[in-house]
Amino acid sequence: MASSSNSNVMQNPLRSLLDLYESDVDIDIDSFPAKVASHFGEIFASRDAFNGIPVLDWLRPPKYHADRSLVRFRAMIQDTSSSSEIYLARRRNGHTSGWGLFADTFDGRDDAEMNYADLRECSVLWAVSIPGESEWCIDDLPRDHGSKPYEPHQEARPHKCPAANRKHIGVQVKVYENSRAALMKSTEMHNFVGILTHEPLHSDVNEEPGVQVPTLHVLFSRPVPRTIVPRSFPLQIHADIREELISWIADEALAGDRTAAEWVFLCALARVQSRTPPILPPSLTLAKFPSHRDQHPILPVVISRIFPTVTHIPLSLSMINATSFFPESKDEDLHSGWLQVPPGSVVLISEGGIREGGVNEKGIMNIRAIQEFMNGQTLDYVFPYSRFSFPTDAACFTACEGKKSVFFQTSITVPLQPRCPDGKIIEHLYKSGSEIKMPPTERLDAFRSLVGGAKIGSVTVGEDVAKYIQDDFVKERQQSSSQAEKVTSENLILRMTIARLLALSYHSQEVTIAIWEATKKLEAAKNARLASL
Amino acid sequence: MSLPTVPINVDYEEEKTTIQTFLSKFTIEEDVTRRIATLDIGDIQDGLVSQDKTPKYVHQLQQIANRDLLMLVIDLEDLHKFEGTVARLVSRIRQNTRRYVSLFCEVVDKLLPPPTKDIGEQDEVIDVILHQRRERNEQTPEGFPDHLLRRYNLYFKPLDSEIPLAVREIRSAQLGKLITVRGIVTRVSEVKPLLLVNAYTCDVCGSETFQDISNKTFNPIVDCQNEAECKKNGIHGSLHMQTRACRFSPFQEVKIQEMADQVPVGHIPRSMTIHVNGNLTRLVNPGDVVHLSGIFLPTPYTGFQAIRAGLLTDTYLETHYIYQLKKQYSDMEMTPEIHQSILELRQDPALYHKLSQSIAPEIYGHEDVKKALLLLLVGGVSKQTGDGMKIRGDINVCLMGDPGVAKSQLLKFISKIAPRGVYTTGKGSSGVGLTAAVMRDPVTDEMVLEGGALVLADNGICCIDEFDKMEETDRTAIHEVMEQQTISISKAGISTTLNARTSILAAANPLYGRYNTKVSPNENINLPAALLSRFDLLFLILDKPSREDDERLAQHVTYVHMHSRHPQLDIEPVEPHTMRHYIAIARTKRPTVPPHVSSYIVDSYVRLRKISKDDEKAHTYTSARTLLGVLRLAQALARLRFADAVEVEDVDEALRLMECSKESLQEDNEKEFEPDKSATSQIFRLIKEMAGVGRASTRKSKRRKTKRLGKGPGGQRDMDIDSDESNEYDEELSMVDIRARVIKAGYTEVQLMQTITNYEAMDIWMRVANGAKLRFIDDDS
Repeated sequence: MASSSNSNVMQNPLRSLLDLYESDVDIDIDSFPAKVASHFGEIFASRDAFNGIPVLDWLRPPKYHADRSLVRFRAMIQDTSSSSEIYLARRRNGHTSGWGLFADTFDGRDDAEMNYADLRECSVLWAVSIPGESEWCIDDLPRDHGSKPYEPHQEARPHKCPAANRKHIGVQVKVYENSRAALMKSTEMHNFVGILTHEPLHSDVNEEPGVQVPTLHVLFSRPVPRTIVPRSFPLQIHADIREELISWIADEALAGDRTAAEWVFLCALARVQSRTPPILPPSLTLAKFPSHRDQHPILPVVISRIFPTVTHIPLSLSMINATSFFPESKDEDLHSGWLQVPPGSVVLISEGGIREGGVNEKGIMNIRAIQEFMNGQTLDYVFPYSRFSFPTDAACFTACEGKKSVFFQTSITVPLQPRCPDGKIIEHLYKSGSEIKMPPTERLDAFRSLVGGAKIGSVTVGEDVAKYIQDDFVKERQQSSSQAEKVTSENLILRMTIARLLALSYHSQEVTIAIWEATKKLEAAKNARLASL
Repeated sequence: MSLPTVPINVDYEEEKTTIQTFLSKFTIEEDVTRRIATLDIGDIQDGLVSQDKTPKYVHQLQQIANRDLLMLVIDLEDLHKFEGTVARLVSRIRQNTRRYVSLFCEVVDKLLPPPTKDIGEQDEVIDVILHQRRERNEQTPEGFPDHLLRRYNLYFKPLDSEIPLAVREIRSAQLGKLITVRGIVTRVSEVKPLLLVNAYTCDVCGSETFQDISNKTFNPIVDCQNEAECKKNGIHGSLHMQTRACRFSPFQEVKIQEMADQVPVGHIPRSMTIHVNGNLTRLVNPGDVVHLSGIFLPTPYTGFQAIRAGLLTDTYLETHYIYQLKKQYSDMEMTPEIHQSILELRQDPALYHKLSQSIAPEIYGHEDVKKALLLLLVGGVSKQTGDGMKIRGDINVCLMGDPGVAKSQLLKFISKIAPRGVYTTGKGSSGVGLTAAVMRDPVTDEMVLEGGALVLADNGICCIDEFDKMEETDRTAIHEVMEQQTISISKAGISTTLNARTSILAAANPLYGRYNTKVSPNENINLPAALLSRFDLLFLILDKPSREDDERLAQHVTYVHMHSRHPQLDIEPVEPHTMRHYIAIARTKRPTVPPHVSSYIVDSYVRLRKISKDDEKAHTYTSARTLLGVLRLAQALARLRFADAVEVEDVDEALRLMECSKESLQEDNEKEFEPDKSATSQIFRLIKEMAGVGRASTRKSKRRKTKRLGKGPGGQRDMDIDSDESNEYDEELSMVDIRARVIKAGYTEVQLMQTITNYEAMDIWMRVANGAKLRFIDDDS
């Protein structure tokens, strides 16, 4: 029964919707959207049933699917600023005109039919493919159902995507369940299941009416976890896995530098623990990272093989001056910016492409936005006459050629010390994606569960360890001889944060004295490198 | 388009009768005071005097008939008064506004008196045409459509009690109703003519055809509608549009966006389309904050869009009334709860302490710095003398110190809590960033004057971090701002002075990053004296290792990481929101300085001058600016109490803060001079001072030593306090007074009791009258 109703729904979703509508004679149009959501949510409750729904993504773009077919779309909400759309919830013929149902029985406009009391609103959002989503997460979805030929997708509104040059799709999403839509915020990730059509853009009277955008009439939706694939913490992970993972990152992306790899790994795990008081992810500078013409380092590619969402921003002057890093509303349309990334992302900024030249005003604003993003985990969205600050939650690090970043102040600086002959460094750091030696599948899975678990895990500090840390700090303060090497409160805060990250990376639920000492060791190694510069 | 059906049965004919009586009978009933008030205005505005006698709307109708008035605004408040209830006509109008606009128009057409003025030279072509049409209407039975003859627009003004909605609160249930939205105007289109009635003439028979246009798009008629000739003869395609005879209305499309306070945290503000017609066009500009009342209506998609989108529709607001909020609008709405908590706060004897501790409560210590910041938020009273000279009331504070002593956090907190706080860094902001610049507008290619952080913070607080790293040119601009409160610009042919009535809160690092104890404070500070003297208070915050502080800090940090929240504080901090309200109210007070206080200030000033003359190595010197600074601080303290007069205590506290600020600069080399700073000793000094006051007044002694400032002979002053208080017992102080005073100074009950028992044990004083009074065991009597 269940499977047959699945396929029925998939074959003709509108019919099943109408059936549901007609099954209830004295239907309450106010509660109908909720009923739709629970009804279809139940049909596709099981994992298999859900995975059976055709996917809408870059490989299977809107044109690939038949008009008004059922699809699921894993997306990041980009813009919720459109005002609600009004639809006729009850028509004279006993139908509803929501969910794209109008065109079945309706051809043309008939004013007389409209009764204001039967009008209801639905929320209109703009959603894009999750920026920086790693390919292996997409692999979690079923393989292509047959290789139906299609023309390459041409995105109609690329300015709505954070990384406009990436392969992505943008879809106008209509959510009829208003109480649910009211809670949806920018950069949140959701799995939308609904009916795909093409419709003119809502609340856009100025543009010529010919512009059609893919539109998804949502039947039901589910939030997507920040790790995309659900994970758990803590796992019984063999200590070797962690070491192996760090070595693998070091060998594949950092020319064998294990210390740098460990710092990169730890910082990439970080997330916002609390906003008041602020326990934010530390930002990291990989200094002395050689640049190589305008090529992109392999590091982000390596990271993305392990981490679910990775955004690489290859900085160049033209990019700073011309593209936008923060969302900006132009003509009541919220244009996206590079930093509009979903929570849990890893953002890598490489400064190798920076050449001499001027930075214009927009560039200054962009640089400021990145710095704010690193320091405070907030991103200002710019609207006419106002700015709104939105919380972000992404680990951020930058790779630069010099001793410190050209533009940014980060909480940690680690100089890279390649462990290979000088001539080979560039070759190592800038190899092509195909040259990466991937570990065996079960190892890779273990790496990913380690990372995924650590991204959602939480770590506590016990009373006795806290006491130990306090005494340790006081002792260190007393011992410091000169002003310069004095440990400040900021040092302590940072060290605490790193200790917790270290605990996470071991899948330990508590910061132990051993971890605290290991943190200090790690810090000392970093400081020694800094001193030798 | 069909209009919303009203569920109750309304007899529209009856409604029209009601409307008619209202329009012809309603007179403004004023109470005596208002009548007097309007009489004054009435004398100036000729013609308005007569309004008292003739009903309000009859008078307006006459003006419309005379073509002097183009819009008729029906105030629902008047209808409310007329009917004595909002349940009847008023509520029906609000439910079904469009219908009532036409009902009112019909009645107005009927009531419209003949013009008392003939068509004159000033009148436009349209008037002549209307006049002729009206004449022809009387001759022929079918005539012109009514609204072709209308020369006015009818608008409804909502009730005063109408609560403005946010864009996201508008639902489909409000369709067709009169609603009010609040928002900021982000875009205004050009004014375009909107066709209301299209007129055609027939080439064959010469008859005129009129077509009502209610939508954005319409199909022009091509066939002549004349029943008598063309229709009978089957003539097609003979119609031509006659622009002159059409009726147009100015039309403007406006976009508004939600304000920051209307958007739930973490959401994107929504915008809405507004249609403005007729006389209401050109009233709003981008950037204005407005309340817009109007009818919420759907626009069905048309043409191709309709086929694709079916019955999904877009919506807009048809404006009826525009209310512009003033420029200084602060988005603060007083709720009963806040009012209550402010009242409670006011009663709190430890108010000053509590409020100051609530500034960045997570930052430990720095009591005096926080007190200074609180006073900065409240500010002194600005004055403008008759000859246009301005005396600054804003308090400027500079924090200087080692990196990592939470200066920036303090600054950020202040910029958030201040009604118009701007946070900027000296390094990050160029000349443009801080002052103002003349720039070419990228869109219009016009020169525009753009204000920087300082201008933006007009009437607010500008927090400048990294003050020492600022460009020299900007610092010069700051000089002007800090004393004259203006910014002068002469660039690109524009010479102007902008207001920058702002308090400056600056944070600076010492020269070479860290405070060098081996060189003098002057060398460390690295700011010119001219700038330094403009700061009322300057604090030096150093990061010195001390076991106690370090431990506390480490505990705090570990606690935060253990529990992801701040440890419980000794005091319950006042909510920033409540604090904003409290400060806003305090800022409305204008405390004055009574004579006896002013003479006290004068004496203190003279004494300070003397000290600074004696003290060669002072890093700051006392100038007239210091005097003003003391005044400002004292005023701010009085404001904090919501008092109308400055008291001696306020001046004492102001002087103490000044002293603290000076001491902080001399911390290292002059430690030995510092008095014992433990709470017990300070409370003791406080009580002793109180006793001194009591004694002085009862003995009618004119001279008394002030303890707080008592360093030299200069610390003596005239006393002018009411000596009527019956202090029968020379050295006895009421515990109630003591407690009030001590708690107000920021100490706790426990500390007070400790002090009392400690000093009792030392036989300095004793508690008498069952512990209700405190008597000094004095030896000089």
